[in-house]
Amino acid sequence: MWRDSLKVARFEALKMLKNKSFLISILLTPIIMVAFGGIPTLLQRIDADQPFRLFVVDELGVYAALETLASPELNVELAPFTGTLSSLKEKITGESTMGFVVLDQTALITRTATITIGGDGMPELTGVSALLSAVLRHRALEVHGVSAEVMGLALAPFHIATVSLTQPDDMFARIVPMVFGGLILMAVFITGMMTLQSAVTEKKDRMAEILLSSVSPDSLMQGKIIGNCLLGIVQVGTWLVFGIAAAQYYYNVPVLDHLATPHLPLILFFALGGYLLYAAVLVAMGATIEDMAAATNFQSMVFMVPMMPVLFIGPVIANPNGLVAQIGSYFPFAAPGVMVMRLALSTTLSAVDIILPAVVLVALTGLMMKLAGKIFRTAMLMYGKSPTPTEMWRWIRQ
Amino acid sequence: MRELLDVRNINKTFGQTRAVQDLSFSVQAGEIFGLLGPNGAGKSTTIRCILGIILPDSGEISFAFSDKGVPRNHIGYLPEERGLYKDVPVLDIILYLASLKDYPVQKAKHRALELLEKFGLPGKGKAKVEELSKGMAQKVQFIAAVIHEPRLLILDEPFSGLDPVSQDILKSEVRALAAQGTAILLSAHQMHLVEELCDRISLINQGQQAVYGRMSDIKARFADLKCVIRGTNLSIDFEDLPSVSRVEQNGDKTTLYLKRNASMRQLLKELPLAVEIEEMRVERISLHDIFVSVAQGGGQHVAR
Repeated sequence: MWRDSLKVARFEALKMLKNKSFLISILLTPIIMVAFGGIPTLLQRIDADQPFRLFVVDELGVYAALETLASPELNVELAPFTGTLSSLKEKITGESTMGFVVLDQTALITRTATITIGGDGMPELTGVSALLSAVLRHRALEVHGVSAEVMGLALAPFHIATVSLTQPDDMFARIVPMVFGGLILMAVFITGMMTLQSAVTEKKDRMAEILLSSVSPDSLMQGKIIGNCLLGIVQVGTWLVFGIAAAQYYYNVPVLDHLATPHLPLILFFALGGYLLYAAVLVAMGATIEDMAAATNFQSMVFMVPMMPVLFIGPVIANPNGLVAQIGSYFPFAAPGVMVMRLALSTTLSAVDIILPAVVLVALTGLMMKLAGKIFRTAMLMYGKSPTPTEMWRWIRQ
Repeated sequence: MRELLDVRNINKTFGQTRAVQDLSFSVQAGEIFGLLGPNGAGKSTTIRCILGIILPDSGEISFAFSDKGVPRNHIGYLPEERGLYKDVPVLDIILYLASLKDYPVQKAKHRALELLEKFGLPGKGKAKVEELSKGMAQKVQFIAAVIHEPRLLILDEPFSGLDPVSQDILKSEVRALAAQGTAILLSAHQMHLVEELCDRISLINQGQQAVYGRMSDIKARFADLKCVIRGTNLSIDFEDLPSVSRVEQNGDKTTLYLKRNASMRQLLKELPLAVEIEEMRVERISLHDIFVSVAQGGGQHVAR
C-alpha cells in the first residue's frame, strides 16, 4: 500500500514542480507578502507629497519655537495667522490638507489644543501633535518660572528597554525562530490548501474513478498528502535560501546559527503533525466538492480550520507560558501553531509541556486520518451534488 | 474457454435502494461480454464492485488469476465518467497510470507511442489534454486503460462521443485484444455495436438480471417476429388481433410485435381489409427491442 502511496506522491509532486505557475508562485509569494506590507505606506506617500498646511493662532508666543523644532519629516507646513477665526475658517473650509490650531491661555490651563481640519479625511498629524505638546509643556513650565536647564532635564525622554532573564539579549536570536515558526505555519496552511485543491481537481477532471481502479482510496489520499508535503518542503526550502541570503547580506544576521537551536527538531515535528492533521481534513473536504465555487457554507467553514492558530498569536507572543498558551497547546487544530510559537518563544518549557501536546497531536492526527479516509473513499465517487454533513457523519460511522 | 472473472450472487444496497440484487455472471478469456441495462440499472455499481472500488454487501467475486483480493494490476478500466488531468502531457498521464499498475516504464513508453500512432495521435505525447479534442482525449483514455496489457478489460460506454471512423478503430482494437486472450467486459448503449461485438451478454434491470446467455441463444429465445407496416392506419385497432402482443404506432409506421409461436400467415389472415399497406416487412426482434422491452419491465426471462 505504501508503494502505491509513494507513486501517487511522486506524481503529485512532479506534476506541480513541472508547472510553471507553481514555480513562479513559490518565488512570488514572499515578494507579494513584502509588497503587501509595504504598499500601504507607499500609497500613503503618494498623497503625502502635498504637505499639510497648519495655521497657528499663537497667543502664547511659541510660534518661533515651533518653527525651529519642526523637522521636514513631519511633512507639515506651519504658518502664523493673525486674522479672525471666522475668516480663517472660511479660508480653509473644504481643504483636507489645511487646518489650524489655537494656542492660547485656555489651551495651557486645560492642557488641550485642538487641530481643526478644513475638509474630510484624517491626515497623519502624529508628529506635529507631539511637537505642539512638547512646545506647550515647555511654555507651561516657563510660566511657572522653571529654568531652561531644569526644563531640559525634565522634558528629556527616558529610554525604557525590556530584557528577559531567560531569553537571549540579541534581538535577532529571539526573532529568527519566531519568523521561522511563522514561515512554517504559513507553508503548512498553503500546502494543506494544495491537498484540497488536488482532490477537487481530480474530482473535477473525473480522474478519481480511474485512479481508484488502480490504487486503494487510502493510498490515493496518503499519496496526495505526502506529495504535497514534499512540495511544502520545497517551498519553505526556497524561501529559506532566499531569506537567509537576504538576512545575511542586508542585516548581517547569522540566521542559521539562530535556527540551529535544540528546539528546531521539535518545531519541525509539530509543524509536520499540524500539516498531516490539516491535510487530512482538507483533502477529505476537497473530495466532497466538485468546484471551489460550489462549496457549501459548512465546507467553507471547515476550510478555515487551519487558520485557528491565528486566534492564539497575540496571547502566545505576549506570554508563551501563560494560561491561553497552555490551553491552546491541547486545543484541536490550534495546537500545532501554538506549540511552534511556544517552542520558538519560550525557553522554560518543561518536558511535560512538550510531550503531552505531542501525544495529543499524534492521536488526533491518527484519528483524523482514519475519519478523512472514510469520507474520501465515498465522496470521490460522488458526482453532481455535495454531500450534507449528515451524510458525511453516516460515512464516518460506517 | 477459461473463466477469468466469476461474479456470484452479489448484492449491494445504498440506503433504501437495492442497486444490485443477486447478480451472477462470468467472463471468459478471449470473450467480449456485454453488461447491458438502462440507466440506473446497476451496471456501474457492479463494475465498481468488480474493481474493488466498493464492496458488495454479499456474494462473491473471484478472478482466475488471483487468489487474494482484486488483481488491480491485471485489470484495465475505461469508466463512463470520462476524464484526464487537463494540464498534464498525454504521455505523462499514460506512464503514471501504467506505473500504478506496476508496468515497466520503458515498456509502457514504447507501447504508448505505438498506440498513439495506431489511434491517429502521433506526436501528441507531449500535448496537454486540454489541447486535444474530446474524441482524441477519449482515445488517450482508452490507451491508458490498455497500456499495461490487462487480462481483464472493463469498458464502460467506450463508444459514446466517438465519430464512426473512431468507433471502427476502437471496435477492431477491442476485437484484436479479445483475439489475444483478453477478457472484455463491455457496457454500452449502442445495441447494434453490442450485437456486433459481444459473444454473451447480461441484461440487467433495476439491479436484477433479466437476460443472460450467448447472444445467439438469446436471439433464438427471443425469436419473436415483428411486422412493420407503412401506411395510414391510425384508426385501426391492432391490439385486438389474436397474434399481436404489442403495437407501436409512429405516424404512418406501425410495428406489430407478434406473440410467441404466432406466425406471419396467421397475422395476414387476421389483418382487417381496411389496413392500408404501402410497404410491409417482417423481421426478428433486435437486441435493441429486447433491451427496450426489458427496460420497460417486460423482459423477466432468464436465459442461461
